Amino acid sequence: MHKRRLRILFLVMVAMALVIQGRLVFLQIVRGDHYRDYADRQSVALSPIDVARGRILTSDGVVLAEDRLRYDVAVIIGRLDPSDERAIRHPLRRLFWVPRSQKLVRIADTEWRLRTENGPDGQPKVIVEAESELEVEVLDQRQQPLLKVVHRKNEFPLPDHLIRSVTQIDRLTRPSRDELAGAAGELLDAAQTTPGQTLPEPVRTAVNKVGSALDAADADLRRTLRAAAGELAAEIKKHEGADLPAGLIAAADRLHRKARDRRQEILADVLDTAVDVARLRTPVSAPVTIIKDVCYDRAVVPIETRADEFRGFVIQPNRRRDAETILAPHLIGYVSGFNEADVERKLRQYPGWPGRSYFMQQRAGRDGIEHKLDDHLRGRFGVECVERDHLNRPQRELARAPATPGRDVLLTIDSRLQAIVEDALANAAYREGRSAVGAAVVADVHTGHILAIASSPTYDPAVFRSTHAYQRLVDDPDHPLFNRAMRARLPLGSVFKLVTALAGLENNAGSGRVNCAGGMQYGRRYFRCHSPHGTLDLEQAIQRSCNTYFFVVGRQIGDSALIDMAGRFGFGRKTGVEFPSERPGNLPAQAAGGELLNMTIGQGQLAVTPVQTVQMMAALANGGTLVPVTLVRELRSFQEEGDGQPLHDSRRSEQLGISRSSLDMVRSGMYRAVNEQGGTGRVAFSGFNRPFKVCGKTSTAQRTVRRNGEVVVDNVGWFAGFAPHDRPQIAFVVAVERLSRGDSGSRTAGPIARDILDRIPLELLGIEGGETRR
Amino acid sequence: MMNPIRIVRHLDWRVVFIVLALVLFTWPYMRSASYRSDRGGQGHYTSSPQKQLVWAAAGVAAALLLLVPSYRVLTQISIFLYTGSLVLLVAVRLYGRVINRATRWIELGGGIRFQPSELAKIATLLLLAHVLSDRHKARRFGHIVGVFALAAVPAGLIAIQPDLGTALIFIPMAAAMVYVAEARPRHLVTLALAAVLAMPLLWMGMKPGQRDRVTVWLRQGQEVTQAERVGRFHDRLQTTIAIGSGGWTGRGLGRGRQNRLNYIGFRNTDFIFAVISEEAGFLGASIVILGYLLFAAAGLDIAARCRERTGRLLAAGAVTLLVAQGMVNMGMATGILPIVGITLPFISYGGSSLVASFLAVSLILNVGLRRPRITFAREELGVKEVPVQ
Repeated sequence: MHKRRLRILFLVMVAMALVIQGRLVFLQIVRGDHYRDYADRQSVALSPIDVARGRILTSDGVVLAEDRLRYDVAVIIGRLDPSDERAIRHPLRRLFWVPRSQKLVRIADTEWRLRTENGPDGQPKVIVEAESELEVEVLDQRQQPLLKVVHRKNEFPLPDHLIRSVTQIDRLTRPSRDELAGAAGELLDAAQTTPGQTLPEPVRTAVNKVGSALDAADADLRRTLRAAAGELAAEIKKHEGADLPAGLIAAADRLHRKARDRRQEILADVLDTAVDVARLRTPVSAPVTIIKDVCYDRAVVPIETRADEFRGFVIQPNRRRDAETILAPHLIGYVSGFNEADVERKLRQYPGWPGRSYFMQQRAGRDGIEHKLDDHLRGRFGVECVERDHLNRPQRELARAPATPGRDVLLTIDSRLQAIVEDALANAAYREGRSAVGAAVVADVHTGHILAIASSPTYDPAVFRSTHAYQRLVDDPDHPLFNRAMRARLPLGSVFKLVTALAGLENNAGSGRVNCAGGMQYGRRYFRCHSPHGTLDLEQAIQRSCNTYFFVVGRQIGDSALIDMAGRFGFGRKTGVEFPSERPGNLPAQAAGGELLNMTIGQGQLAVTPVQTVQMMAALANGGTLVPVTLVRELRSFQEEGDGQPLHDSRRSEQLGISRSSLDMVRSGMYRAVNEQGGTGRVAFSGFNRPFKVCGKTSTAQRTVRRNGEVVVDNVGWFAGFAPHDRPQIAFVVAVERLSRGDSGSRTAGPIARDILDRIPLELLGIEGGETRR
Repeated sequence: MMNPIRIVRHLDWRVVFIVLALVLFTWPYMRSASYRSDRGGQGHYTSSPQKQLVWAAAGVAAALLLLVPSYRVLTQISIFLYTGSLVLLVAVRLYGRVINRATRWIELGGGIRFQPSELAKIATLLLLAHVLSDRHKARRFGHIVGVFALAAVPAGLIAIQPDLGTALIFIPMAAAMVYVAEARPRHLVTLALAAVLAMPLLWMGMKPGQRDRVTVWLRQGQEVTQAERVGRFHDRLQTTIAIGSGGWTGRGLGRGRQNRLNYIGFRNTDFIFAVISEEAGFLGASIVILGYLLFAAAGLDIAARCRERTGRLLAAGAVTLLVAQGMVNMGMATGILPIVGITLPFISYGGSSLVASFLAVSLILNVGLRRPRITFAREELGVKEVPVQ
């Protein structure tokens, strides 16, 4: 009997073995491939190898945008305190100090406040006040759920090790004493350039406090400055509507940010990250940036080398866009990280790409040259296929595709001229020294190279890093972010009379003399001129900008000839310059009756951009060839030495087929407008003392715009022309908006153009042995 | 007493060969599982593989030593061994060392610690063989219940350590011994029914973590959330992936992704089978299972040939103890059973476990040694040397 029972016992064991074998067959043979895939996928990560974006340079080699390596401090929640493995899995429990007998169930959006309070041992403790919905399940002794509690307000002390690290990190990463003093000095400067009366009294007092703190310069400079800056920030906030100078507000903002105690912010960032981790939005092992752009010597080295002291905090190298000098921000545009939509687009472009992370770290140009030439600038990220262990630590490299650096873009911009143009716009006399609202463009008439292009008011690209400063710009009634040179649709006004004149000359009309009696009756309407000019010929008409003369010409040639000539000069269509969302302006298909008369003097439906106008002016100056304006000289690869390659451009120069004599006549009128008594540009250029002469045309155009829901009349002033008069080399256009009532282009745009031409480097005009640009 | 030459001549070499083969064949995998990864592939091996070899040598020595006295002597003093192990289990409760939230170890000094629960298994095995040796008593229901009660005392003390896995192993061992002791079938059925009815009690006595594992086991194959995937399903999922990714022939020794990259926890102890399955594949895992079956066949053969009840019970009990533990461990690794902390005999890293397994094997060999002489030389059984109490 016992033998039988032993046999049965053995059979039971065999049966168990067979069950296990069966399970192995299922797992390893049937589903083997699936699990092998799974194992490979979870342990092998494709990670991008980042690469420097190409630089953007001016033609004379000044760097307007380039990548620089920066260092950020990031927190890895899972590593905050590795002594307890459970704490890694449940970081929130540790941060929230929820006892083990209570189970954390859910947490909704949270706001943190931190306060310090003395603990029972007399040591200060940081208490977190969290206003959130924190659902906690209370368990009984046998770990059975007893009840669920929803905490709306929760308080818990922070672990000491965290506070220690954060205090240390704040100490290492905050601005130095010198930086702080510098920011305070800037603030005082900003307060001084403003006439004292306009500052409200409390703001003045606060500014003075900053001054006395700086003067005292005691050992506790940081603390005194922090108090003063905090007070000033509060006062500025109180006087939000009081039209405080933007420079003062920006300087106060900067000082406040530099002087503040950031420990609370850092802690709040850490807590936010912990909440995200608890909701599994972020992997426990993912670094989340909390402080950007820290000093290498003071912060990076200590944090990297004393990793034990800063458990859970790591340094992340990062590439940021930077510039040698801030020039032409509107032109350069800006760069930002890939957003969801970019990633989706890339994933559609490369179906089957295994990871999003490759794209997540990339950056894209968002506007300007950065956007337009993004494909060239960006280069290509490499891919690194690395095996990683369960803590995401790299083990070995399995494959690698090297990165290709982006190409440098060499612009046609001349940094000296660009700086001059921006400066001229920034100190516009007609706005009492404030920034003009408008644009200026200077181009080479033979090559179409844009030597300077500026929109005003301008801005500091740093605003994109601060929501506060950015919002201020968005709300600014002068719209500083708007690129007026490329995108403003403006009435051209009298400058268009040059086109009308050429259309007349080419159609055998308009070279004769016309008597201006102060206007012209057409139908039931009287079309006015500024003053009765008497009898004048074409050159005089241009010189004095007589409306009546061009009404007559217009009526003689009709609308189709005029519109045809305007079209030949490129109005009504984009110039195709290397810039995103350039506006085409508007060239009406027909203009009958009164509209025709309006159009002859550049009013009515016609709308142009400054860049179109400079292209037209260049064609007029160079003898009748419409040369497409361009911003890009060449592209250079990082590795390649020597000359770069030109950007492919399908646009071609066009002969306009305008006779030499017609052009000469018009140019002669422009010469007289600037250089002879009675010329409209004479006022602006009186006493002009440079070894070349300027031809130009002024314009004061009316338009109606909607401002704050009201339709108002706004005057746009122009000054456009070329130089030197006898051997044209450059064409320029200055357009300004918001003229006060009764003001004219000659007195607003004119002085700005004069300022530019007063300072323009002669070599750009081919004078004095300077390199002739051809 | 037997002289060494007799021991060598009459030793059951099948059992010795199978056990040593299991230990040696799997040692490289245990070593591979002792790799701890670090940044940049700068991982290292722990000292476990070397220690295991030392423990194996110590285990062999202890096993040889245990061959010297007859198993009859051992069963007769089993009540003292049993009582002693109970005392140790209580001592663990009072003075034991806490590792992974469980109090299982007694510190011996010099960094050596051992688990009294392993000793308790051997002592209980001997005691049960002793108390079941009377056939007539074994056919009485009350006596059988008493036998289970004897097993339940150390099992209970172990369960509160907590070490449910080791505690539960007492059940198949006692059941197999009672069965081989020719208990009445209806008694066995009654006990089986009682055991089924006692299941809810077991559930109520379980800690939340233990219940979690049962829940995870029951929910296998269902969709789990991302939170669960990195939370309570983590071990289950990663172990299953490890086994599955082995395929027919495995990833190769030292090349298992799940193993080398640390995705499996407790992989050189409780989950060593997952590592073998990943690196040696279906074939390697099957060899391990086959090894256990061959061991069972040889061990039960010794039991069958033994003409004396105590020896038969002892051999059958020892075989069941080892094979059941092996099967439960492999069953848990493959997901047939919930995850319980229990080692794979001969293979998992762990001194106490290895030495105890060798001692159990030694008892089987002891029974085999004394078999051929039973009718001719009673004195060889060594009965006379021990004073009867």
